[in-house]
Amino acid sequence: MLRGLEGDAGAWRVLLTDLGAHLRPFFARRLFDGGADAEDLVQETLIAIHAKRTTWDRNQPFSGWAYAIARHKLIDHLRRRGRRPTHPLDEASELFADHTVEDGATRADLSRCLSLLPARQRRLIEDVRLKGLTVAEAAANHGYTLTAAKVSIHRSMKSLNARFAPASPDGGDHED
Amino acid sequence: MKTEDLIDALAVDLPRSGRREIERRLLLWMVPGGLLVLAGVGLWLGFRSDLASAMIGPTFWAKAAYTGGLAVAAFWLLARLGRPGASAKAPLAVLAALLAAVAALAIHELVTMPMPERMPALMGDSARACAPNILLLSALAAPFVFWAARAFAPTRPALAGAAAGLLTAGLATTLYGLHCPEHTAPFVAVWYSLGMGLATGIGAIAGRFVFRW
Repeated sequence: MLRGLEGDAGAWRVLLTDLGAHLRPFFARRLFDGGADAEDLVQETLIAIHAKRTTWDRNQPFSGWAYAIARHKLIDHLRRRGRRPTHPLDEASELFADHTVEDGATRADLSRCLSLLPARQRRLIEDVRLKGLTVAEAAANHGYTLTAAKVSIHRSMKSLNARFAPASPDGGDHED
Repeated sequence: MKTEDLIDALAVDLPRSGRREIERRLLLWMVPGGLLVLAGVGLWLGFRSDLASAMIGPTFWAKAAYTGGLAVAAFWLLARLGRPGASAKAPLAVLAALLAAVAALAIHELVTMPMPERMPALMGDSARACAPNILLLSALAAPFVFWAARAFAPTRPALAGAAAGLLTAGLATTLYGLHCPEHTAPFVAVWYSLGMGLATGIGAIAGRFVFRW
């Protein structure tokens, strides 16, 4: 922020992008009516933060300032719409959408498992099993021949199985 | 428009901005506003005939201290209200203390006065003209103050408008003291305050429209 005030355009761009990422869920959580309005509000708030950047007092916490502007824009928006926020039921499904906290936890576990593999083998596994590339594409990406890639994947899976399969002693039925 | 494009567009034009830039801008715009009020007092109302001798005495400066003090407190209040997330408690407390002090002084003066002198002290010679004059003079300076204050970002526009109105009235009334020969505390506490209060109220209404952002 300070560098932005000094006229550093690069730092300002980073700040605005960061703020945008924080504001999107902030508005989405409070609007309940889909993403379009929230995105409008994000943009309006960013414009306001840009236009009113001199009103930030350097002795004042930055987040409090930005939050007050976001809140002002939100209240303005709700007032303009002239009614209290409603909760259309057909959009409640969004609450159960793909991305959940569990998602992140799973991803973290997965990358911890994969980190046991050597880096080159690991990248290959990621490409094939997680990103969904074909073995041929992945092999080309990482400089393997097709056969070598297949062998490497096979070995990786084997060593992963060897490491983690014993954790569920009664066979792998409910393991996946 | 995509948000990324917007950010790119915003980050292109980024002039350096200094500390207390808006306060400086506001002070700067108060100069022509004040000069206009001064011209209004000089050309329309006329300076008080005993101005030179009055400026030696204490009551002239006591009046100026009250109205000028209100203007300073209002300036401070406006500057706090204009910054999102900043607390406005301190300037509000100073404002209240100032009003209370002058009210106490006026009551004290009235009570210690013999009964027959009380009413003349309260009404002076210009009780009816006082508030309208203050309002008219404030109207001269108001465009400058409100225009400059638009650079702020008040989240409570009506309150900020009231502060700007009081700031304008404080400026105008201090200069009005160059015309008005009234010298009693009760008169100032009632009629000056009434005029400034009206200007503050009008400022609050104006603020709802002017301080949109």
